[in-house]
Amino acid sequence: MIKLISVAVLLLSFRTFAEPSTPDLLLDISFEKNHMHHRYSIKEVFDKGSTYVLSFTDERQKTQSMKISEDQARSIKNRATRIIWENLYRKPASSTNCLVYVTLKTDSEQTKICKDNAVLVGESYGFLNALRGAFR
Amino acid sequence: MSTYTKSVLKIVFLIQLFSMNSSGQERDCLVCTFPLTPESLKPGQADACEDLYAAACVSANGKYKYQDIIKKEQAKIKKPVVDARNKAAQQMGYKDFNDALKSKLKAAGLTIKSSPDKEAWERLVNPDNFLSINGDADKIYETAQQCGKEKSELNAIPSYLLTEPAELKNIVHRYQTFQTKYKELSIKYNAQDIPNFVDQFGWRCKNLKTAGSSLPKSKDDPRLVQECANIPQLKRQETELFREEGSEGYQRKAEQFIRSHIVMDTSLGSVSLQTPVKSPPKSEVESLRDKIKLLDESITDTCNSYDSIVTNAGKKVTSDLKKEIARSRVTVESLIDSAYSPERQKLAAGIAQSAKNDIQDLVGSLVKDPKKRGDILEGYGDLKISWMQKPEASSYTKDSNGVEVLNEETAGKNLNGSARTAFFDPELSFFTSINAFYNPAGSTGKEKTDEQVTMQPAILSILDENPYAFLGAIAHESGHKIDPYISYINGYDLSGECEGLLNCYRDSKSIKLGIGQSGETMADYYSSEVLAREIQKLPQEQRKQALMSSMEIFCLSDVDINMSPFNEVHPETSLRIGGIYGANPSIRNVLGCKNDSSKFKTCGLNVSILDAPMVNPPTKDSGATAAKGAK
Repeated sequence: MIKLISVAVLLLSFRTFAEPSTPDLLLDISFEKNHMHHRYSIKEVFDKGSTYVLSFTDERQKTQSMKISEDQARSIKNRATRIIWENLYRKPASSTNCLVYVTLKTDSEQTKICKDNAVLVGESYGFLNALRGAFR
Repeated sequence: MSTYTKSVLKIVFLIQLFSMNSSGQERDCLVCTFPLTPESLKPGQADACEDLYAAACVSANGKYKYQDIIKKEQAKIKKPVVDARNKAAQQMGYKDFNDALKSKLKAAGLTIKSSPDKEAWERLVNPDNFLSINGDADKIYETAQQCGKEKSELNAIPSYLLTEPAELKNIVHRYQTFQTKYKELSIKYNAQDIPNFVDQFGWRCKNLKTAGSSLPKSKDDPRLVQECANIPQLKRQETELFREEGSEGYQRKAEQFIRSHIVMDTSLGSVSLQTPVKSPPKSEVESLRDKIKLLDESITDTCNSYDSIVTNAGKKVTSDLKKEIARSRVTVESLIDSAYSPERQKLAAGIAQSAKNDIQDLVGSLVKDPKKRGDILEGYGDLKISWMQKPEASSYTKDSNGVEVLNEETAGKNLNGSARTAFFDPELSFFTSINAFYNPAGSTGKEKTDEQVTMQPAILSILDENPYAFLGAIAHESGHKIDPYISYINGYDLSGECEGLLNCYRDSKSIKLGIGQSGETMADYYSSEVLAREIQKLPQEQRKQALMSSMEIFCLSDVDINMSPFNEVHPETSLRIGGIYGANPSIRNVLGCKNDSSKFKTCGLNVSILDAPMVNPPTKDSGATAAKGAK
């Protein structure tokens, strides 16, 4: 019986960890400046195995998408994760109002980079610029 | 006397006034000192009056005029960053940036091959984007190449021909040694980047289940399933390690953490060598051959997995070095010196002033409401070009390597404008992106930011060889102050004044203006009016070439989209050049165009400039449209 409960708890905790709120959305980046709203996302599409789609939605709500490899998806997500971790775990908590520069969200974590954080705004700027470069 | 005639007389007077200096002599003609680009002197596919795009950007033979110089231009834009990185690396005691990177990689256990693939190395050092950087490990690093070599050697062993148990045991040992070696190396490299390792581990956990199901597959490794379930509990340790990254003892702790808690990728770990319980008894030789077969299968993906880990470790080292170098005092000052020289500042200020004068002149015709007009004219007096200044010495601190770098803690308060963030981007993209923008005045709390135009360094570099292109660009950005959207933010809504002209651009014979493009289109229009006013100061025979020179940024962006500063709110390049600039009646007048273009409807405000006679005045039939407020 104890064994059965352990398995149930294990499966339940696995479900809690592994199931993202939106199952196929691995990365979602939202950026707004001067009334221009840009959004980047990576989705995992299941079709005879996994494929990955990087999308960019511009200020006119026009979306461009491209298939990318798993390595490329991991590489992009990795850079987002590092910025998220730097914001969440390396800076002291702030009580000032946050004017959001960019919102980064992965399947397991999310954060908002505030405009007063010069270092992470700079890093995010480079990241966004590189993402934009993928669609040029 | 009509209002229109009064305006014209007033403008003529003002121009005469401005064209004289205090001693009464004719003022210097700034544009008269500008060189024409070699490309503007080459014959184009069409005449500028017929199709400005085809004249400025396309050769008579149908090829892009700027095709041959694109690589030179790209290199020119990147050069200040390359030079600054080299200088900073030299100050750190290295020969140059490449030497510093090789040294840092070696210190991280990533020795570079004696002859690394040049393109792969370039992709590591200067990645264009995320999509061009993977799969290069064996082209750059000795260890990745070695993995492939050793794997091939193992695969090539004809174990099925061997009959001696000792020989087969030796082969099993070689396989196991191979696996252990690359597992240990993988732990070492993974420990250098805990967030990435956690992310990759999460990826493996995610792949445990089939799509749409939260249940693990029955064949999944039960230990991995359990570790995946424990990830939330491990988070605290992971984040503590992350905070310690770079400190003494960090590497050992991180490796220990990975060893203790995380199940390694099976292609890098050991495999079960137990034979199935119910299989018939086998001879020792057969059993050993089975083991070798299993081992052989298990190492199939070893080097692929290892390559990914090595690639990431290399990128991490590169990024860390770039971060340190980007914020170092040597880099900061080198880049500011190269982009924001006093000579450039003087020329940029002169050109900006000309553009502002011309726009103020145009405002006199466009805006009839005296209050609005007064506010705008006064506001243009205050419009500045942002010019990056070197940070004070107190803005720097020494990092753990003794390098003088911008102080992260005080950067937000001590640095201004773009300098606040530009040097915290490891790629220093602010210095290589072709971009310019207008910012209205703003305030956050008690902090106020001035209204200003920012011309990023790549645009400033155009000043040296083609000030005409800079003139067009800064006129465009300055024009945003009175575009239909930003004029509202600035307190003098000009959407009504612009509507007539925008309607002309919406016409299918014009540029078929799209939704959301009005602001950019009006900025282009203002820029075209500035160019008309400036170019008409030149002798007639130089005007077409001068206008074509001013189109360089557009033409380059058409050859290579990476050179494009334009996003989707701008109309397409050939439409902008041909349908806005080329179809502007003021431009057509100063060029001496006799007829309307057969390609684009003529669209412009009903304004007259300086001494240029309206050789082809706009009429309703020809499609030239006067904005409501300008009538």
